[in-house]
Amino acid sequence: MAIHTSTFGRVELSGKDAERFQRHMTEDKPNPAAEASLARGREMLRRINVLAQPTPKKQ
Amino acid sequence: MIFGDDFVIRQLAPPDNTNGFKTGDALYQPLKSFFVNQAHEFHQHGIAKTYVAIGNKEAMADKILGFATLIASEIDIRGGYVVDTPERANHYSSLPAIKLARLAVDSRYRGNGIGEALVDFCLAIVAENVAPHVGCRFLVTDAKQPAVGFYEKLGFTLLDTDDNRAGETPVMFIDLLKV
Repeated sequence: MAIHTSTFGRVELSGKDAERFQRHMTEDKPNPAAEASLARGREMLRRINVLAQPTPKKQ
Repeated sequence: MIFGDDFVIRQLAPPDNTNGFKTGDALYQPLKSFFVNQAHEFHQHGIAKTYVAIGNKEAMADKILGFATLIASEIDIRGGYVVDTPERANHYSSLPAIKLARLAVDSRYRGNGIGEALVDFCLAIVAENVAPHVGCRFLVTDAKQPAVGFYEKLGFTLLDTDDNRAGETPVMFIDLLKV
């Protein structure tokens, strides 16, 4: 078996799986779907951070 | 459902009651077992952090609609073949990663974008709050076979080998250098 992975642990790759993974690393282009996901997530974090700001007290 | 209006996402907190969470299909029973029996303990002891999507409107107020759990991980490629480029690609026998270890949406609320929102949120946590401060190259998950398409739509790459495609929980990842 060339892939060992556990739910709460590491991923171990060997043989063809490790070789393919390294090619993914070096050859894959940026994925627009991942970029879009990150953009949406960043917007969520921004909104949460805005909501977490203390409301200024009236003078 | 709309983030901020219909639901919010925050860390699991001690008062959160996980017992009422429904996963439906037996395939997802381990997700419920973890959430009910272990999520709080893992969270409080710093083993894995769980984020919950919480209803924000009257009918669903304070209800847990879904959850996602992140844990520190690594991808060990020690047995890999040699590649020529980039020159030092083989210098590292393992690469730091965060694993999306658990993701589930209550069966009563599926189809409303909650799972997608949890993944978006987790990716942003890793890209914004982890990777800039600690070495972390990947967000990785062991996807259940029926969920492979779901993760691909969100930008995860399926490790493209026969063994992985045929596995019960194929390895999928996002390379944080490419987002």
